[in-house]
Amino acid sequence: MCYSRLLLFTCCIVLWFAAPAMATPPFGDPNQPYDRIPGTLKTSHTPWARPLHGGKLKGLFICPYNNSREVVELAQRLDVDYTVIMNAAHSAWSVGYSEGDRATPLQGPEARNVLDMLARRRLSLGHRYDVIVIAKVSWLVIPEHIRELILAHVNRGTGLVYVTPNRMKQGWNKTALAEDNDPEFTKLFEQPANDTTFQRVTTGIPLVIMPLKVLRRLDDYRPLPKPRHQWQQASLYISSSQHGQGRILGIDYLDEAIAKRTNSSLSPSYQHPLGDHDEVIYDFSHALLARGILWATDRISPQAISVSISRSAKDIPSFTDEAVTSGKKWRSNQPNVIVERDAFPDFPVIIKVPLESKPTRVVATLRQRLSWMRDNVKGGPSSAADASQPELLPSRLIQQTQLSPDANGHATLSLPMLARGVYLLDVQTLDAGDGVIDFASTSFFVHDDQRVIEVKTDKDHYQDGNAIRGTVVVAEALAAGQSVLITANDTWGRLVHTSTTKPAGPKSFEFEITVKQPLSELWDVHAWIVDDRGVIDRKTLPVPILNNSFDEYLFMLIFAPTPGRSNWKGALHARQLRKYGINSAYVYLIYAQHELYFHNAREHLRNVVYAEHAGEVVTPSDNVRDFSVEETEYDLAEVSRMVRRVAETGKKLDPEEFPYRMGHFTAQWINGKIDDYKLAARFGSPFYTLTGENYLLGEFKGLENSGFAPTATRRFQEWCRQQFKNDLTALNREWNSDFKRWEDIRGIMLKEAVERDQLPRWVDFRYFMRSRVFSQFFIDWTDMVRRFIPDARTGRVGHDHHDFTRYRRHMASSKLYIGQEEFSEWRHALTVELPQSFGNDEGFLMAPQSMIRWQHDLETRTNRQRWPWMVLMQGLDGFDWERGLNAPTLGGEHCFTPDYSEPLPYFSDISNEVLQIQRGIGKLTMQAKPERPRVAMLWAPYNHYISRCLPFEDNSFSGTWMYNISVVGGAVSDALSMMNSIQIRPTMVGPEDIKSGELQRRGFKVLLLPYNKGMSIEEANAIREFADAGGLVIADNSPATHSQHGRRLKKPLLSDLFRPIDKDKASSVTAIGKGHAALVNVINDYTDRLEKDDFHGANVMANLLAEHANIRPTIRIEDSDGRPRRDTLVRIHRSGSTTIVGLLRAQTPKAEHPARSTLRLMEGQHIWDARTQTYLGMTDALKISLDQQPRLLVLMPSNPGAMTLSTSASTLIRGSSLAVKGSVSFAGNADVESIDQALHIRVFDSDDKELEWFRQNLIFRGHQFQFELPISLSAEPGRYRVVAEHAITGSRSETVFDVTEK
Amino acid sequence: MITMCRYITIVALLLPTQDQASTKSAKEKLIVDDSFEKWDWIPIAFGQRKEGRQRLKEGRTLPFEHRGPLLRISKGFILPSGRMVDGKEAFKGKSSQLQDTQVGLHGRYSSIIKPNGRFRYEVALKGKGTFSFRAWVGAKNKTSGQFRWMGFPDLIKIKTSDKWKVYRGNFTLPDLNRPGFQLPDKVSAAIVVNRDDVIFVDEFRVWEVAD
Repeated sequence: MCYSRLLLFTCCIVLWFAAPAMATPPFGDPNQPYDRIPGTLKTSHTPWARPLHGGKLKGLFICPYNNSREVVELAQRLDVDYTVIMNAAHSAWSVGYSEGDRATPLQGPEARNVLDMLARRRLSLGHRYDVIVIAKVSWLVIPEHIRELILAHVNRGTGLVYVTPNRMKQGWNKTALAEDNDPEFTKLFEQPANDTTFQRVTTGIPLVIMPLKVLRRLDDYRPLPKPRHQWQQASLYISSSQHGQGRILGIDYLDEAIAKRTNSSLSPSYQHPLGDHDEVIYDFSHALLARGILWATDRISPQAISVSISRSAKDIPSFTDEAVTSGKKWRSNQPNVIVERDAFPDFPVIIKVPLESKPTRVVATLRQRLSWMRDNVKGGPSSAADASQPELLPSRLIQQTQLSPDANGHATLSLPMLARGVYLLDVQTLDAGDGVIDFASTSFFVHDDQRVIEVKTDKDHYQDGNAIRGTVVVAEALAAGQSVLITANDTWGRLVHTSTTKPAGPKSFEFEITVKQPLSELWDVHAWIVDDRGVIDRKTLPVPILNNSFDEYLFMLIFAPTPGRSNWKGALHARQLRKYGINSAYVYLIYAQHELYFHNAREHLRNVVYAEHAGEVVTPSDNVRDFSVEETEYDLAEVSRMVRRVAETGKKLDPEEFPYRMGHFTAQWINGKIDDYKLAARFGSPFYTLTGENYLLGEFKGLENSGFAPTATRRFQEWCRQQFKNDLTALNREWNSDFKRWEDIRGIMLKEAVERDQLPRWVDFRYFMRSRVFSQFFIDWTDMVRRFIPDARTGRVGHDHHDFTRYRRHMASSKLYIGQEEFSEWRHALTVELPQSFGNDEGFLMAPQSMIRWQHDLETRTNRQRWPWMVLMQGLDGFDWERGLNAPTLGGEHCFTPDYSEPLPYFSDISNEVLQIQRGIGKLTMQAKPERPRVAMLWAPYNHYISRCLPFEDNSFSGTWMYNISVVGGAVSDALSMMNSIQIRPTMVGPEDIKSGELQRRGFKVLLLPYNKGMSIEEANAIREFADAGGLVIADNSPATHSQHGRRLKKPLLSDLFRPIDKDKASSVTAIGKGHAALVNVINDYTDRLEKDDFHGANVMANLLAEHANIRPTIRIEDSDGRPRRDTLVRIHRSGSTTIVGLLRAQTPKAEHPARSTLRLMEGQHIWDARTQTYLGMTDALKISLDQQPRLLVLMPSNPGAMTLSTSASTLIRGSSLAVKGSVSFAGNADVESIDQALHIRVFDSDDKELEWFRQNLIFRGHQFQFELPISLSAEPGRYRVVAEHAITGSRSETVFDVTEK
Repeated sequence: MITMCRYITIVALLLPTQDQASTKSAKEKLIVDDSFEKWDWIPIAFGQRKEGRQRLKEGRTLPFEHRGPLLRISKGFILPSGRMVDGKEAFKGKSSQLQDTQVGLHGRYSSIIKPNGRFRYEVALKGKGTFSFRAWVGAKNKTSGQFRWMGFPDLIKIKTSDKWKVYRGNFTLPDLNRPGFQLPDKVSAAIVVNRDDVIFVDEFRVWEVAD
């Protein structure tokens, strides 16, 4: 081997072995977000010290990767040119969280080496920084040589600001502090700042309204009992010291144990119990840090700005945040300067600015400090509400005034009339270039004895057409000139109602609001007390407006930063990702976090409810207990019985009547759930997840040991009696047992069954447990939920360890575990088909997607483009998007740069497809019905247990290493792959359907038996009858060789239908009455073969169906030689006379090259490529070049052409409704009135800005359509443009209308 | 004649029972102690199902007894350890029948043989074929950390007879050191029985002999 080849070989070997220890994608790849911080995204902020007098600072920040956005947040407020070293966590340097060898974060040697390289390079003494900021990273975890470099910089004059200095021990998931003392650490970071330093840093920040307990001595800190809760407020302790020529400042929030959970690295830990990111507090947190940095760099003005506000002489009681209950350990913070409203207007405030700093200008900004809820009062009686606001300023701007201080630096500011509430007065001194010399802010409260005490409504939620009837209670009887008004705004800020109220008493007033054409799931109802001087007080009640319509393609956040849960990151994550198609979020009803519904509604995200995680695994230790002994305590059947009682009566349980307890499952706990469900009913959800990766005990490992508790045993006895028709002898014969009484019957452990040769007893028992206890439990739970949330759909997340034959109207919705590997549309097809078939295609189904690993769907551009269409084509309604800077990682797990400025290319690829789908074609496809030829496939779930008893059979009931809990792999899966391959989609049926004559009633012509070794006599007879009457029955894998209990039969039950065939023969057909039975040898391992371009067996199946049942694909796809293609998933949906055809070529080796193919139809149709909105012609034989790209074709009997739009009026007044009508012209004479189509509608204002609230997709039939646009009471007068785009053809039409005030 | 017989007897008494003389040292550590007396039923793992299916397709036998989804295994082993035999077929109590299998590489005999150690063994065998106790010797490149197999020497190799017999002997690991590679502190081993052989084993013991 020559040298270069040897070198290449060696490099390959090294890379091969090194590869698992690298991130995928690796550092430097455009799809790896680590160390990227463009800083271009602006968020709400006050530019406190930007631009900065004296010029920009140069700062180096050491901050965990997942919170590095906070550096940009600071830089919006302080003029600093930043360099960032992103580490893994507050308590870890390079070792953060990662999952598997294809994890997206950096890990192992790559993490260590890259971080070290960056840190050394950026801390090299060749650089000069004004300041280094450490963002809560433990001093202990920073490597010694890096600490030395930091201190070397400080020694020669660089300032150091350490936010929450700490010595947590190493470990990304640890929060324990080091036990030993470090005198150097104490000296550098824990010495109390003197009064002057403390004042200079903190004066100018209204700490009194911040949730911080200010400590002047570290010893004064008193922690609450562990575990430290995220609602526990932070403290503030300022330390300072000198190291060489550099100053060191510690801003210690004493929150290192919880900062990770609140995403706070440069700001104090903050999580209000009711959620929402308080932009004002967040802004002040960065202002405090900015002042700290200015002090450390000796750029802080030596003299402070002072603001004097005369306090009221009146003794006014303190007030609390009534929205928060005491149990949540939250202390609300209000100003301690209180001014009576009567002192306004023209209330004087004295401002004194130090003249030594020679300010050129002094600016005072008065803001109304909003409550923790979003201020949404446009159009209300407050004139301030309609004043235009600087786009990114937190709170509401009331006025901004330039002051002219006198020779002593004094200026008087006159404040206007103000309503009751908290206000902030900010003062900035500026130099000639508008550089900020200093800044200060103070808060005050405007008080009035008169206020709104309460606003309440007659119901807790409403629907379109309802009347909201409510009452306002005020503190005092109205004085002359006072009145109570009501307004309502939707979450788009539109004014939807305004009215007066009717007195119902001296302090009580009634109102009524009609809910008409709501465009959001929440209306803020505001009650105002006004007088001739303006607003006295206002109170807001958010009122849910129920929307149960879920007909749009969902792209959902899951286990991600979400509004109300993740501090600053939650709303930001949602707002950024919404632009890319995210339109929903998982809501944790399981933790009774009802406030999340409101947060999501405000951020225009639909709620998808995670209601329960039920199963027999009640605590983590249940996963690792001893499964070799019978479990006699856990009785899921008894819990089921309790739940069924609630479902029947709608009433709470009496704990005395139902004393049973299984972990947390008690009568009291169930009663608490009832209250939760009632509250949950205020908002819609496409389905309610009742379980995830939870199982019967031992089930995951195939060591099931539950079912021996009293209720389960009793039910098992009843079930056995039914199954064996009260014949104990028959049972004993089947089981090889000798029970004398039905009351003695009980389940059996697997080992005992093996030792006593009673495996059929075990089969019956385990099937009973899965079907009649586990699945029944969720049926009961669903019925209970429906008592309080009418028509709720329920489902699961995760594996397939359920009896799907029982989930016809229950549990038919789910998030299915599919995708994230190659050939998913083939391998995982059964996971999708089971709920669809048994749920009659009515369930809401989603797929999972994740940023945790760089798996197949993310790997290449083609795969990313395929994924959203694959989901749609398979009949699913969307997919989720897991994670996004939730965990302490070193890179990865995100689809944006970590500062949220730029999307990563891989996300854009996926998002572009999602956005396309969300422009109408998705909605059209989702409401269409899938084509289902009259082919049934029998899935009898007891065969799962029979198959487990035959571990070395040719092919099992399900395959893969998770065969206990997954249906992927195995004979049924292979049969479905084969059917999909020949483009004939079967419908799964269960034994009950066979026995009850459903096959005939539903008109099936073919019955497939891919794995039905176990079969009852009744089933066998029904199948025989089906064949005799003319049906075709096709079987593989020794059908009916065992009873349905698993006992091997001497003679197979269907030996008259299926005669044995030689192994080298593909099939053998027997005529049976008017029909046929065929035994085939071709189903097993078809999925594996297909993946290698080997379609052996497909033609056999196709020929059998054609010849003996006249079943052929209605749409065929052929290769260039006219032979049927077997490598393409073809999914057909019909809506009226519109046919939607999804084509997805399998990514086999031959798929590297496009293949010339022909799509053959039964008759000529007009064909559109809906993905590219391209007309392909009118034909019954479409020539296409089939590559790996997903294709969605729409076939129509007539061709839609141009569209026209017209409106009911060209000019409208605010508050009215505009009817828009349109029509589509069709070429040709074919009947167009059954052609279903979709429109994507948008409305733009006169500045060409889209009004997102009007964005919608409309499904219509025929050539005419119409829709309405409700114009709000606060609509800006002007001209508006309506644009309608045909979702299939892309043709557009526009019209305009004008809005006037009156 | 009598002298010849005495001579033969004396020589026979002095001859070792097998090709290596067994010695007892004062300090010995028992590192393998398998009497195959206790057996249990455990679930057949997914990999074993796949492998078993493949074996049957190839016309080979399964190396363990199974009933339904459980296989019978000798206690102390985590992977199949042959088929249990008792009664007349067994040596004492219960024994194990091995065919076309390797036993103990993972778990039971994992990391037990010191490369520079000395060992003494004793095993009861009968059957048709050869009983091997084979070492799996791998090492890491000291520089690159790359792993490489150094060899698979048979530490014990016995051609059995059709009657039970106790075999004794000593063994050491042959020198498989290579420059630049670091052997681990201990290597693993397994009992190996070839496809066409059927070996019964019982009372298998190995001692590490201290110097």
